[in-house]
Amino acid sequence: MRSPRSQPRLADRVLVAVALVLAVFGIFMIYSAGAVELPSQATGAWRRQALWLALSLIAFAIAVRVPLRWLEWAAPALYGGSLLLLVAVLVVGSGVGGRSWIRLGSMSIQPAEFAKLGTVLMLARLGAGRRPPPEHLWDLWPYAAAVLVPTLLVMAQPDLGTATIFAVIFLAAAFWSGLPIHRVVLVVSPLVSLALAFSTPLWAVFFVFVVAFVIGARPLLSEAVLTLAANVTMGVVMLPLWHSLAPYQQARILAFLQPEVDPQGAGWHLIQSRVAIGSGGWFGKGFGEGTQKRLAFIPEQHTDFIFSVVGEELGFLGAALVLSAFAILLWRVLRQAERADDRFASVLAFGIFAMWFAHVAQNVGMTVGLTPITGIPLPFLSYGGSFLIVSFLAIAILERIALEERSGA
Amino acid sequence: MNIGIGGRELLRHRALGLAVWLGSVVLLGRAFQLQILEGSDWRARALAQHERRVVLPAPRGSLFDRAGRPLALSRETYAISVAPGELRNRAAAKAALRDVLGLLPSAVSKAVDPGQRWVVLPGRYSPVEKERLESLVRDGVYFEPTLERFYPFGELAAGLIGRVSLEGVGQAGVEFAFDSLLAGRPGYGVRRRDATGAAQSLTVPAVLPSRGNDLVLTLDLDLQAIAEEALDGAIAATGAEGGEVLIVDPRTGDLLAAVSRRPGAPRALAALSEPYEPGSTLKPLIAAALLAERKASLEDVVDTEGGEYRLGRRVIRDVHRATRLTFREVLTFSSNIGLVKFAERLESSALYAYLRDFGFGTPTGVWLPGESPGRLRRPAEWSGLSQASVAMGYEVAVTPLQLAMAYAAIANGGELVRPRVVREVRDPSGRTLWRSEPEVVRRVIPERVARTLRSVLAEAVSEGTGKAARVAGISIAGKTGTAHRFDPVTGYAGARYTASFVGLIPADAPEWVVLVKLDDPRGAHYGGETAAPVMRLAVRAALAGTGGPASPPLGEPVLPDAMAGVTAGQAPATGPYIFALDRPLVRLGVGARENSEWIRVPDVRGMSLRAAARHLHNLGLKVGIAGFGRVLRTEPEAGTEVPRGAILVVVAGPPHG
Repeated sequence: MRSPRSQPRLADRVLVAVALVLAVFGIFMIYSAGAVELPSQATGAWRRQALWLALSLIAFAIAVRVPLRWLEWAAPALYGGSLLLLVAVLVVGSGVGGRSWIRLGSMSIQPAEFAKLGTVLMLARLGAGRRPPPEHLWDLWPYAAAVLVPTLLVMAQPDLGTATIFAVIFLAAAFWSGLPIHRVVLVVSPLVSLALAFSTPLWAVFFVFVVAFVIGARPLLSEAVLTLAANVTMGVVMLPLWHSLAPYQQARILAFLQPEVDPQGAGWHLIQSRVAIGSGGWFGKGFGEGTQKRLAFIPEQHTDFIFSVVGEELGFLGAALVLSAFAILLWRVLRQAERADDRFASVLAFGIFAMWFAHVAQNVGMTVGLTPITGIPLPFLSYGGSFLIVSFLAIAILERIALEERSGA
Repeated sequence: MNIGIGGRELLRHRALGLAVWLGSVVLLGRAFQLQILEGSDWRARALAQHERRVVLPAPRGSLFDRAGRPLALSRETYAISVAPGELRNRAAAKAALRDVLGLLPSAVSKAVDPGQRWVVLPGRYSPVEKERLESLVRDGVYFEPTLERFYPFGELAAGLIGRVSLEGVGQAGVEFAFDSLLAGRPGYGVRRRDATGAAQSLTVPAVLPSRGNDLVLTLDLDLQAIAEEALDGAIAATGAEGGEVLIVDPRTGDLLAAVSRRPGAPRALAALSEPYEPGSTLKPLIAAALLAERKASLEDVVDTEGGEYRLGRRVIRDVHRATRLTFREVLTFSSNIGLVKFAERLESSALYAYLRDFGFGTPTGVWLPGESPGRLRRPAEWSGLSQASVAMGYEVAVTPLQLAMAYAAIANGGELVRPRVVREVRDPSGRTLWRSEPEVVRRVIPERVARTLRSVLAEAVSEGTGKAARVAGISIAGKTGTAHRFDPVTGYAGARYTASFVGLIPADAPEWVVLVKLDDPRGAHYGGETAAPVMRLAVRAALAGTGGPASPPLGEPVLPDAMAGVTAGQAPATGPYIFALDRPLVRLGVGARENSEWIRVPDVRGMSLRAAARHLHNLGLKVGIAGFGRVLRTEPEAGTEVPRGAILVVVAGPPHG
């Protein structure tokens, strides 16, 4: 067997192939998203995305040659670098309704996307460093700290959607690091409280369950107090927090809860995405032929709502094929996380899995009206260079994991 | 090394697998729900969002005169709007608006003012103007097509034709009466709209509009123009309040020309809606009853009392004072006393029955709106003096159309025919759907009585009160009438009259019944002095133009050949308002005589259409008009020799053609 360092060959062809197919398919869909009846910034975006894909493949080719040990060693530096970018974007960034972009000549990058991967790397390093798995909630504090910093930074942009992705990454790390299941439940419970705090009676019912669970699970007293306090805080803190949200964020959440109330206003995106997908039927209206897309009824159709274009033009069949591709991709990633002998590699792979899973579930869920609109892109398909590069860097890391696994490094 | 493979970890892995599974199933299930289960609802919703039904108006059918000249057409015009912000080249747009549309400088600068978002230009523009503007200014100019009713001959025959409302619904005259035939059926198209609400395109119409049917009227445009000229001239000359001229073909009931003038109502066809007391023009109809009942013969003599006859409290006077007159002379000189005395020979019921049979007291049944039945009281309602009043043409109110039709019965040998205004109805492809047949309502008097009366009426023109109606070269029969106008306030006391004349032309076998009526002429007020000359003028002009009253043979429709192959909206290259002729331009007139003389076409360029037509009529030419405005040229050109009675096409257009 050849040395993986001198001549790397693909160890997980399925993973790379699915990623490549999705990315190329994405360029086609971005092209279609630009084929509209009225001037749109989506027109011509496919060319830039093709360029980004080329850059992504170069990044992949370089990153796949980096040994995992180097990565583990450099993780704090990479994490720190991504945090610096997040700080920089708050100073020199631009964007609509916030600061999320850094312009570099004619291109612009989204530091938040790089921060996701940086944070995953940092969490993997932290996980690898702790030989015994965390027993108590208190053992999670390094994870929490590592996630909290970028979370607060993206919330300052403000970008609530990306902040939730960081929360998911934290939960995934806690889960995968070996925290006992019942303590994972304790960690998750305040988030459920947060979601339910919209309706106080509903939250009260849930809180009774939490109390019962805490009594039954017999955690440390401090853990019990922390958990219950966190749950109560989420319920009480909800209103002030709600008022601290930017109006467009409030509008989006409200629109998710009651889209029919104001279809021309806040609920517009939500309704239009469902109209487009729903009108696609079994086989769709044909590539490039989506009327809702052509007449610009679908919002942000080449970025966040690319799946709406897929659903409208390629129908249920196309939607099912795309979802299947993601299922295969995620399954391959999860398999790597499970099989990896290396603790760093395992947590890394699982972090990437969690990130993509959250993206796909949240993005597709949003287009079909199951989750709130948060402006989270669909991996590989949505237009956007930063996330595409980050995704292919992740593919490179996963490929490297598989490579080193196979070569028994 | 993994984080243990213990039961706890196995559960952890299972939970993960479940999460991926659950996520996939939930998302796929939702997609299935939206796309398959609720698909049709969402599709309907999508359609409702971006498709709008747009009504496609149906072009209204055209109206033609009996010779096929267009009287009313539907044409596509455009309302033009400018979005100044979208103009690429302001200077070029300015020049185009000025040169193509002929806009005033102030309107042009407003239209390209960058401070304005949307400027609707005044007026409507033709397809040719639209195309030229489009070729010069590509962005920022918007066209909205509308169908517009267009009357190529302007106000000519407006009373009979009527008009349509802004929405294209017939409001009066033929346009109103035949609205359902003319209107057609609108279709609809589907217009796509984008999310901003802007229209994207007009897709193929879902249901095509079907054009309305065309009508060929009985109207003769030449006669109509002559009638209107003559009437207007007479009103101007006599200072009359108003009046009418009707020309009817007594054989078929065809309304050849119909015009009414009333102060303040230039387009109302009062000739069928306003009854009046006919005065002496009713006398021949009383005479008809006497002759038909054999109660009198033309040679019977009556004592006319030297011109003054006391009947109860009333004194009846004659203008032509005489002591004895024959029945023939009574009619020729319109002796009131004579006719009152002869009328005493009739039972009042018989008198009533004849007047009723002549059509008085009932609408004629012409297919035009607003017809009045007039007023004819039953004998039971008559007073002791009514018989005498009726004999002189009072206590009975008739519409000019009723009177013309009654005279038509004398002209055609004794039959009352129904007046008609439509010869043919044609579908949009030109196929004849319906052809009108002359309709005899009833026989009123025997043939011999009609013939006798015609000879008497011919004498009335040649020797009697109607001398002023004489026209050299053609025999005319007719009767004058001068009736006191009844005023609701002063009764008959005021010196206000209705002067009228009804003529049959030619007297021996009439082809026209011409009725002329002037309301309250100043100065000379006798029908023989005011109305008869109008008829002479009209008949002279008509003879010059048409070579005499000559209608096409019965039952054989006149093809609108001058208009053959021309449809509304198809603008030939010469310009938007000019109708192409696919026939030889020089054509012998219908009534051209064999030994016709040759006439040199005069130069009428620059004249108004009306003046040019009058000039050419006077020379004995028929005139076909293409376009409106000032005369640009004639076909054939000025200087060409054409036979008398030939049709000359006068091409007119806007000054900056």
